[in-house]
Amino acid sequence: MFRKLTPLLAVVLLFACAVTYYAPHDAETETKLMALQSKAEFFYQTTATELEAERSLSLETQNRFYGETQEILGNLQNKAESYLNNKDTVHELALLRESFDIAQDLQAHGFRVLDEVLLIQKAMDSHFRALLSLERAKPQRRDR
Amino acid sequence: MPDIDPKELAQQMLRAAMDAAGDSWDEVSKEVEWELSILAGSLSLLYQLQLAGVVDDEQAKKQFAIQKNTAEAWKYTLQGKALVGAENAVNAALAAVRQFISDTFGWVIFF
Repeated sequence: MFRKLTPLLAVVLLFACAVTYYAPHDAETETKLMALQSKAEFFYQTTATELEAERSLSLETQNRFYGETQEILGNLQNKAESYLNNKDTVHELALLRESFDIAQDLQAHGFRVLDEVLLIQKAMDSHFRALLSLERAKPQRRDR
Repeated sequence: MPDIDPKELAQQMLRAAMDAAGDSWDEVSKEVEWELSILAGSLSLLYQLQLAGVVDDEQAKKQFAIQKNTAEAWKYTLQGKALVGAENAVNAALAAVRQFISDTFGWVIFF
């Protein structure tokens, strides 16, 4: 009797499980990314406004923005790494940190035309959208 | 040096993205088409700035690296969404089997 039931039980147990190929959606990550996206948008808009007025943001202001941004992204990257099957988000965050590093270097040497700021602003905004698009597509965490 | 046609560049990028996305393309096509057109426009602008001597080679390389990182980010988003789509499809199939077992044998399976 038990031998006959074993395959059936195995099938039942198999279908009792839901597969998880991917890390769950993280609401805190989404909120922090949205906040940082707005902050970056404001920063580059201010940079453009200053450039139009033939001024530039102080090095102190620049360093504060890029320092805070790296700290937030570093924390998000650590959190992303703590999930299994989350390597796409981890890679995207690492690339974004690298982009902000490059942008800091470019800005420290000074921009000559608005287009230089616009290029960075658009690229960063698109990068945030890529991260958010993936985060929102992730499966919702199932509470048992 | 030849000019870059942003529309042609966007089309080339789009074809490459479609190949990479495979079956998940329909779901993400509009979003990615829009992003690739922005990226193509940026690359064209960067090229013009470099030709006009507004940015030097070093600055252009750094600007290009930022654009490349953004393009790569979208590649990872496409990959991830394809996997999430596969997970949803498999889980929908498993849920149907669970329902069948429940209807047939009267067993309620919790997960």
